[in-house]
Amino acid sequence: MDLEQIKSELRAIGFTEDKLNQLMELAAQEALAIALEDLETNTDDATMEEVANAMQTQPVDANDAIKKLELVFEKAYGANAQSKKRELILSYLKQSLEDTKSIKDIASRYQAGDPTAVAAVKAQEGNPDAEEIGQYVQQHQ
Amino acid sequence: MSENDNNNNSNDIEIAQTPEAQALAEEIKVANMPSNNNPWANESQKQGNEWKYGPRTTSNAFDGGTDELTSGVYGRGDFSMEIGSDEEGEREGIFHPNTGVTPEITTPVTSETPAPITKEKKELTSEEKELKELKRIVKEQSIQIQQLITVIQNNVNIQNNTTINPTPAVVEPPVNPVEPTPTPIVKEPTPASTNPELVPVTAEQAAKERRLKNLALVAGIAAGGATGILGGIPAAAVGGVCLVGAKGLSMLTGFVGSKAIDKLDTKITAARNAGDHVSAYNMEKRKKGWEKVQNGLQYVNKFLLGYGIGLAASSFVSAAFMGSHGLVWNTPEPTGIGIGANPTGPSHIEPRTLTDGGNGVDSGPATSPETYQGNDFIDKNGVIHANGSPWDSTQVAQPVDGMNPTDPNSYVQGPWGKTPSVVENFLRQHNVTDTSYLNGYDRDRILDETWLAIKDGNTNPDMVEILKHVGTEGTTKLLTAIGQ
Repeated sequence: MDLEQIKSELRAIGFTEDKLNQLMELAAQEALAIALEDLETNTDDATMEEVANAMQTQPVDANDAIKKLELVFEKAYGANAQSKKRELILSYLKQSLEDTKSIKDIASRYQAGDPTAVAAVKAQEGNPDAEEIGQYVQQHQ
Repeated sequence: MSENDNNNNSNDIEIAQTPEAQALAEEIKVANMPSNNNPWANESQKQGNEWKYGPRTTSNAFDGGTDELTSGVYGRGDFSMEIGSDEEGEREGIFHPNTGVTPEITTPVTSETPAPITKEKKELTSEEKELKELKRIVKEQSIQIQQLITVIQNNVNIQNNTTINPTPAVVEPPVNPVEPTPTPIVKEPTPASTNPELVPVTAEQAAKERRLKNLALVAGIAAGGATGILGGIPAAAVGGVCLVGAKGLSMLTGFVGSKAIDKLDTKITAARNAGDHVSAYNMEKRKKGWEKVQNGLQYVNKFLLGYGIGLAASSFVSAAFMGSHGLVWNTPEPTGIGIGANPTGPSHIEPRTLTDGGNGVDSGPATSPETYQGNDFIDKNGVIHANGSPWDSTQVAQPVDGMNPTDPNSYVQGPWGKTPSVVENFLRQHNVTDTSYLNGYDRDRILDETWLAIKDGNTNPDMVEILKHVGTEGTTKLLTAIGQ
C-alpha cells in the first residue's frame, strides 16, 4: 500500500484534509524520533559528532530542513535511508488507519449498547491513562 | 676579638676569594642582572609563570578529579560549551596567573628583586604552601562543579528539550553549589516560537503529546457523529479509552526516543561506578551529540508544522519523506495544476517541454539569446541574485557536454543543477527584464519549488503553476507581467 492509497483510505474513513495534514505531521515527527533513536544505536562517535554539528544551525529554508532531515536518516540507516523514511511514514499511517477502524468499531458497538464494548469501556474506569486520554480527546474535539 | 677570631675572619675573606667562591659570587651576580641580559633571569621569570604550579597535567591539577569534572561537563550541552569544549583552555584558566585565584603567587622573580640564596630556599617553601593552597582551591571547585553536574544531570531531559536555540546558553559554573533552576527557554523571534508545541518540556512529554494527538485524531474520527455522553463518558473519548484497554497502559508512558538515551545513561552510570572515567567521558560526549541532534530536529519539526514554509505539513512530509511528491503539488487543496492535470499529484502531469506549447504556459514574446538582457534575478551572465537564499550568487549550470538538457542527471548537481536553467529559460522565454518586485524570499521560493518539482521527477515543471503556488505579491506581479 503506497501513500496515496493509505491517504485515500483515511479520507474514506472520515479524515478531512485538515485532519490528514495533522496526522502527517505526527507521522513525520514520530519518524524523526525513531530515526534519532536509531542514530544513537547505529552510528559511531565521529558520525554522531558530524551530525550534531550539522544540526546546530537552524534550517534557512525548506530545502535546508530536508537536507538536515536526510542527513539524520542517511547516517542512521545508510543506503536504506530513503526506504526507511517511507516505511516509517507508511507504517505510522497504516497503524493510525487500523486504530481508527478499531476505535470506530468499539465506539459504534458501545453506542449500540453492545455488552462487550460497554464492558471494555467500563473496565477502563479509574485507569489514569484512560482518563487522561478521555479528557484530552474531549478537549480537542 | 681574639687573634683566632681575626684569623677566622681573615680566613673567611680568603675563602671568599678562592676561585670557587668567586665563581659562586659571579653566579649570584649574574642572577641579579636585568632579565634582558640574563638567561638565568629569563628562566626564572619563565618559571615564575609555570614552575610554581607544576606542568599542566591532569593529575597534577585535579588529583583525579578531572575525570569527574570533564565527564560531568558533558552531562549538559550548554555547560559543556563553556567548559568541556576546551579542556586545555579551562585548565589554563585555572592555572593562569591572572585568574585571581592566587594572584600573589604569579609575581615572577625579577632582577629588581635580588634573591639571595637563603631567600630562594625560603621561597620554595612558600611555593609549596601556595601549591598546596592552589590544589585545595581546585579540589574544592571540582567538588562544587561535580555537585552542580549532579544537579544538572537530574534535570538533563528538561534542559535538552526546552532549549531550541542552536546557540547554547552560557552557564557560568557557580562558586557554590546551587539549587537546580530551570533552564531558561530560549525562544526564537519567529511566529513559530509562540506555539507552545514547539517548546516541549521533555522528550517524553513531546512523545506523549504526539500520542495523545494521534489518539484525539483517530478517536475523533472514529466517534464521527456520536455526541454527548455515552455511559458517563464523552462520546468522542470512548474510542480513545477503548484503545487504551486494547493496547495496554504503555500507550502514554512508553515513548519513542527514550530507549537510546536511557541506555546511554545507564552505561554512563555504570562506567562511573566502575571508575572508568574515560568511557564515561566518551559516552557523555556522545550523549551531548545526540542531544544536539535532538534539538536540531526541533527546527526541522517546525517545517513539519508548516511554519517555516507556509505550507501544509502534508506537503513537506511528502517531499521530505516520500520523495515522490513535492511541495508544489501535494497540497491538500491544489490551486490547479493545469490542463488535464489531476490535483492529487504530479504523477498525473504529463511531462511537457517548454517549446511544445502545450504546457499551459503562455509563451509570450519569444526572444533570442542575443537580445535577452537578463534581469536582476538571473542576469545575462547567468548569475542568480536572491538575497538571503542559498541560491544567491550561484550560476546557471549547463548540462554535461552532449547530454540531454532536460534530464536532471545531465547536470553535475542533478536536479539542483538543472533548476536555475529552468527558471532562466522561463524568464527568457517571456522576455522578463524587470524582476525588481521579486524580493529575496520570492526568488528563493521560486527556485526551491522548481527544484522540488524536478526532484520529484517532473523534468519540465510548469512555472506558471509554481508562481501561482508561491502566491506572493512578487510572483503575482510576475504572472501579470507575463500576461497570466
